[in-house]
Formats: sequence, structure tokens, C-alpha cells
Amino acid sequence: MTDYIQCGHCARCLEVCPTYQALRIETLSSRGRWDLINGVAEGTLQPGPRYLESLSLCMNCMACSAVCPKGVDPEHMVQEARAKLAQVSGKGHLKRALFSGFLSNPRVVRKSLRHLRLLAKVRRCFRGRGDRLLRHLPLLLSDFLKGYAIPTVSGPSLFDRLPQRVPAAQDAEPRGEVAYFAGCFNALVDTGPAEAVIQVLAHQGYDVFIPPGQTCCGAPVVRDNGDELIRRAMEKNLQTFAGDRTVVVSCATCGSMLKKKYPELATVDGGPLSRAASDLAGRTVDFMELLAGAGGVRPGRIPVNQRVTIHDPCHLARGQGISTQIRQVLAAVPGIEIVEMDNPDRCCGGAGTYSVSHPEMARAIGLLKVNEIKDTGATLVVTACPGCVLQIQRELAREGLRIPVVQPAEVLAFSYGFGSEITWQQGT
Amino acid sequence: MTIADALVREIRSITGPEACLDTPEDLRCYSYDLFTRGLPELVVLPRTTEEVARVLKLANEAGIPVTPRGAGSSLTGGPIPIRGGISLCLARMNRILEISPRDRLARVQPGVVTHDFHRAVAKMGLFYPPDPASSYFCTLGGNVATNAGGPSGVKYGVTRDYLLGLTLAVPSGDVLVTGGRSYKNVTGYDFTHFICGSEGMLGALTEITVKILPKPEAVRTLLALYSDVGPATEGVAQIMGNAIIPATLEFMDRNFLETVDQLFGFGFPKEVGAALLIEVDGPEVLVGPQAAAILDLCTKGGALTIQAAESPEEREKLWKARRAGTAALVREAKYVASLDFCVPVSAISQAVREIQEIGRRYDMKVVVIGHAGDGNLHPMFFYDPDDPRQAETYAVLEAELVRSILKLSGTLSGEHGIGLEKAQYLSLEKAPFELQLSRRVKMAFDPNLIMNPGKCEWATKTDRELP
Repeated sequence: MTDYIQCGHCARCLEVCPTYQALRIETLSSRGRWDLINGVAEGTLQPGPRYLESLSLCMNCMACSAVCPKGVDPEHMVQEARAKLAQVSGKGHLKRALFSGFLSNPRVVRKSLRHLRLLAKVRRCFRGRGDRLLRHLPLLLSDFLKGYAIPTVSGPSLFDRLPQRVPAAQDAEPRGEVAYFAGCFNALVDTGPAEAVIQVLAHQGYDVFIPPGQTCCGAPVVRDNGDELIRRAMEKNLQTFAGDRTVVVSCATCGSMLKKKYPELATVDGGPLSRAASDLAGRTVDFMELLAGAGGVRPGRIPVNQRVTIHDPCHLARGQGISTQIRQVLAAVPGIEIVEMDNPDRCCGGAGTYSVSHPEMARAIGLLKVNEIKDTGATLVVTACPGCVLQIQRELAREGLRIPVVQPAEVLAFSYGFGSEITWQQGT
Repeated sequence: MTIADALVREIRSITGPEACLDTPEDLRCYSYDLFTRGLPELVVLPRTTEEVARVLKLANEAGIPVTPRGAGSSLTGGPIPIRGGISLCLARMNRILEISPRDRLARVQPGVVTHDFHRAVAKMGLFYPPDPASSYFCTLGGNVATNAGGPSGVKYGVTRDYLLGLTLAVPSGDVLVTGGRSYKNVTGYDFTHFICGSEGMLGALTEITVKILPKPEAVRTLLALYSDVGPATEGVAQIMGNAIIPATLEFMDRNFLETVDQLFGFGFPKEVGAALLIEVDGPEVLVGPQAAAILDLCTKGGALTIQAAESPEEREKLWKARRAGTAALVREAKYVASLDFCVPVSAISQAVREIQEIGRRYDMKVVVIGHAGDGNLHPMFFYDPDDPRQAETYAVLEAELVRSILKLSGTLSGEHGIGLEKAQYLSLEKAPFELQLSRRVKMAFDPNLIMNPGKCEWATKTDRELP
């Protein structure tokens, strides 16, 4: 690990690093992490507990790497350094084991989720509304074990609710068939936003194919030295989505896995796997990217009447370079006034399972986001990532703010008149 | 010098354990800036003036060095604790305490990031002009400590021009409150403006009161391309001598423009050898005619072409060239020495030529940009400091360059500060008596010389040690 670019210590990355912004301690900043990793690599620093703490607090939001004028990629270096540590310490073992179980037994998991739903209902009787804390299914179990709140499971999975093929709206100009990669959270736990995506796609004139063989993208174990498991997930998804259909993704993280992580992982093998991965990456589009692209969006019917502020998920803004598209699409929806917050693309603190593993830091970073939202006077927050939705919802509620947080598809679906199906006005 | 455990415990009891750090990882992370390295023995992150004063008093009694810092974005080694001791980081004191449109002032803590302050006052239709290139990540405390400037300096001046009052904790544990809320104030010595630019050598800033202005209603942006340095710098002199003070007058040389063109595809003509980025701001009715007058001057002065930004997006593109160009350049070499001379406007042409000539003579790539309207030039030399031959060449080159700049009635630093980088040249610019006086003033604030030791060395030498 000596072939990386040397940091010049200019400090540009400090004010985009959420952990630095939350605590203002250089040791827990992007520039600090680079210097620590470099110190360990060149042998001038013995890694101690503080080193581990600093690395584990990084949320991999990629903001530092995006802003670096020299092309230093601290985010990637942190991932590598963490993978090395995991090899040594064997940490992340439980998470990897659970994830492996999930990949092998999708049916069992889907069924057991229904029981979890009952459990959550019972629990709600005692504790009020269940905190919809979790996002990726495998971790749902591990976090359940840790005694964390149980997410509200909306019922049968997306695959059990809808047919494999949802036809395009009769009155729309046909745009061909697309395949939908739903992502675990919206396929299995909270299906509302995924149904909205499908409704909106059909309304534009797309026939939507929802392959039931799809599995988790693998993101939950990215931080836990889980490349082997991600490879298994990738192989399954490559098989499931083989062909030449455009693959639509509405979860920022899943999208960046399909577009970037898969080809990266597969190049090691070269050969057919590598070709299949880059082929899939080339056919994968984010939902907002698709709508903002050729053909345009059909105009909405019902005015939404909301002041909307947009949060740009890390895996969308930096992971896929998508941020103007969502504004373009939402601006065309009747009754929407967009009010920008100061730093729409700063990580919300959710970062997958980070909010569970590092609750204090996640809260501190969430508070930065909440304060910016408050300053805009927005009545609705829109963000294209189920993880960000959960985190921002929770942090707003903690501050006593009853501002709903939804995915863009839900806003569109409402305006198209599918509103009764969608719970977006209630918030948490 | 090592800090006794009892002292660490005492400091910890003042700041709380999470704000008094001494793991090897923490010490390492407070040991660098763009210029140098120096390991502290303790990192202290106070939250209040009182905490700062108490920590300084303890350090003073024990003779422990204290080096104040903010974001550590300095280019000169200024905030690096090269003699060990305490790194006193004020980045956590980052609250904007007050913005008063009626009194046209704001009170801030030193750790407020300059850009955050710009944004906060802009939301109220107000304007704080000093805009160093690092404004997105540097702190106002650092700006005061170095008297930071930026492109807006030509019309609006630098940080010092906006100061109304300061709060400075000094080693005795006393807190000096200078100036106040009055726009005019001639009562007693002007410590406010004296402390500005003192680079953490007198005490630690804990509060800053600055003037703010109404936001200019409109702005016009022009990019004028010239065949060579001569006509471009002549253009600067003409604009400045013509009773229109532009808000910005930036100079860029051929090497810089080539990089920018590669990056953004502006499609500059081959013969372009220099450019000026010019901005005028003010009431809508005035900026149009002013921009037209400047355009006329540039045309008559032999500009090859002049682009005017017709929209905020086009303005952003022209500025992006200036800002991102520097960023693109730093990728080209292992290290870029970013210098900061300032000369009288009439000497810019000669200064740029001498810089380019020295680069050629020593066969070292140099790029010259600058805030030409106030004579502030930023030559950037590209080399590998780990290669002894290149490092030696650069050292000789730098010493020669300093002498030629001083000959043009220039100065060592326009806005970056002296720090460690230029300390060795201080006696070339300052007469012995001024240095002696500097030392006596320093002693009045900091008799045990604990504040930021090792910087601006000549200022702290005894009378007999001076040349």
C-alpha cells in the first residue's frame, strides 16, 4: 500500500467530512485518517485503539475523495485499511455469517419477516410506534439480537404483492420493458416506495419486470471485509438480470453497487464474469436518471402543495454523479417549491448500518442535517435512498419536527393520483 | 520539554477529557500543515475564552510552548508546534455570536469557517468581503492571525480593514478586550489592528468583531486574453489608474492558462500568454457602464479577445477556471511551493518577468497568478522536496527571488504570513531597530516566550543576536 497519491495537507477535505464537522477533531477527519493510514503504512505509527476508532467512524460518504485536488482517495484507503484490520481481528464475523445465511435461504428469510412483522406489532403495543430503524435485511437480524428497535414491516414482500410483470399504462406511449431492482429494504420491509416506483414507471409507459430471483446487492458487508459474500450476491444478480433490458434501481446504494462495485470486484477474475458485470453496469440506471433522460416525464395532475428540500444521498450524488436530475424531475411536479439546504449532499449520518454501530456520531451528524432542513422552512424532505429516509425521519422526530421524509417516487405517484396507496403525508 | 502528568490532569479538568488529547494518533493529526511537520505533546480543544485563558496561564507557569491553530490550512507552518508543547486548537469555538445589520457588525468565535460566515451574512443581504482562496475550510481566527486577503482585496481591502474589536487571551491568564462596537475609535493604542497578523505569537484569539457591508446589487465579469505579460500588466495599471476600482483583478500567466484550457476546453487561441479576470460590482445602473469602460480600456490596451459573462453560470465558469486551475496544477508535481509576494502595482510587470526568468534559469517549472489589482503575486514552483538536488536548487532560487522582489519595493508576504517558511528572510526586509522593537512588544505580551515559539525567529532574538 505505497502506490497511493501523497496528501498535501491542504485541508480542503475537512469541511466536507461529516465526522469532522460534527466534532471538529482532526483525528476523526478525512485528512487525519489519511495521515494515520500513511503513518502505519510507512511504519512511523503503531496503530492503537484510537486508530481503529478513527477508521471505524468513517462513513465512506466519499466527500473527501470528491473534493481532493490532488486526486487522493482517503475514502478508498479507509476501506482497504479496514479490510486489513478485519482480516486480522476477524471482526464483522457475525454480520458476515448472517449475510451468508440470507444469501442461501431467501425464502426462509422472506417468511420469517412476516413473523417479525407480528412481533413488531406486539412490541408497538408497549412502546408506541416501532422505530423503522433498519434498512438491509441481514442486519435486521443482527440488530434484533443486539436489542435494537424492530422496523415496521409493511406486510408481504414486493414479490408476493405484485405479479412479476406490471404492464405499462394503457394511455401512455409504450417505452418498452425495464427490469426493476428493488433493493432489500423496499422489497421486503417497507414496500410503499417500491410500489410507487413501479406505478410511476408504468405510468410513463414502461412495462416493468420484477425478477423474483434478485437478491441483496451486497452493500451491508462492504465495510466488513465481505468481498467474497458480495461476489456471491453479484453472481446471483448477474444471472437474474442477464439479458439486454435496462435495469432500473431506486435505491442509491444498490445503484452504486451495480454500477461500480460489481465491475470493480469482477475485474479481478477477468473473463465472462467481468464482462457480465460491466454489461449490467452499463444497463443500470437510477430511477431519477431514467426519468430525467430521453422522453421526459409525464406531467403530474394533483398539486402537491409543499415546500420541498432535497437531500442528496452519498451513493447517488458522489457514487453515481446524480443530483440535478431529481431537481429537474421534481420541479416539473405541480405545487412543488424547491428550497435548497446549505449542504444537500452532506451525509445524513445514516450510512447503512452506521447509525446502529455508531449511534452517537450518527446522531451528531444527523443533527447537522436537521438544522439545515429546519433553516429552509421546508414542509417535505425528499431523498432517493431508503436508508437516508430512515435516518432523517428519526433525527427530525428526535428534534420534535413533524416533517415527512419520502422518496421521489412517492411524490410523483401522489401527483399522478395513486396517492391513496402511499403513506407519504404521515411521516413517522 | 515534556508536560508533567499533573499539568495534563489539571488541563483535563478544565476542558473535560474529550477535549484534551494525547494518544499518538491525536498528536500526529495536529502535527502538519501544507508546509511542515512538528509533533505536539498535548492537543487541547477549548470551548470558551475562560478555558483558553486558564490553559495559557498553566502553560505559562510551567514554561510549556503553546501554538494556537484553527483548521491547519496554513501554507507557512504558522500553526505547527515545531517546539512541541500544546497545540491549542480553536476550531471548536465556531459559533457566530451575533449579526447586527443595524450596527453593521458581526461577532464571531475564531473557529467559524470563513465560508460559513459569508453564507450566514449573505442570507441577510450582507457581505463580508475578505475571501481567501481557502475560504471554504479556513477559519476567521486564522484569517485574523495572518491578516488574510483574497481576490476582493483590490477594492475591499483585507481582514484587518474589517476589524472592530478582538478578544485575546494572553499567557498571564489575562484577557485583553480591544476595540469594541464603534466604527470610529481612537481611544488608546490600536491593539486590534496590531494583533491582526501576529500569527499566534502574542496570545490566543477567542472572539472577533468585524464590520459587514450591504451586499452589492450587481456584478459584471470579464476575461481578457493577452499575447504576453507586458500588455496584460499594462492593462492592470491602466484600469487601476482610471478611477474605476474593480472588485477583482486577477492575473494568470501562460502556464496557468494552458492547464486550465486542457481541463475545461475553453479553446484559448495559441498565442495567448496572459489573462486578466476582471469584476466590477455595485448598483445595477453603474456596473454596466463600468464594465463597458473597462472593456474599452482592455481593447485599446491590446487585448486579443475579451469574454463577458452573460449569466451567473458563465460567471461561475470563468471563476472555475481561476479556482480549479490551481487545484489541477497541484496534481502535476509532488510539491508546489505556493509563494505570496506583494509589489507596488507599477512593478507587477517587472516582478512577473523576473519570476519567470528565474524559473527558466534554474530550469524549474513556475506558474504565476496573482491578485494583480493590489500587486499580490502567487508564483508557484513545482519540484520534489525529497530529491536533495531539487530541494537545494529551490532553496537557492527562492533566496534570489526574495532579494529581487524586495528590490522592487515589494514585501515577503501579502496575505499568507511568515510562519516558518519566510522566517529566515525577515531581517532582509525589516531593519534591526524594528526587529528589536518587535521583540520588546512580544515580551510585553509573552515574557516567557511560550506563544508559537520557533516562528518569525528574528522577532524574538535578543538585541545582541540581531545583525
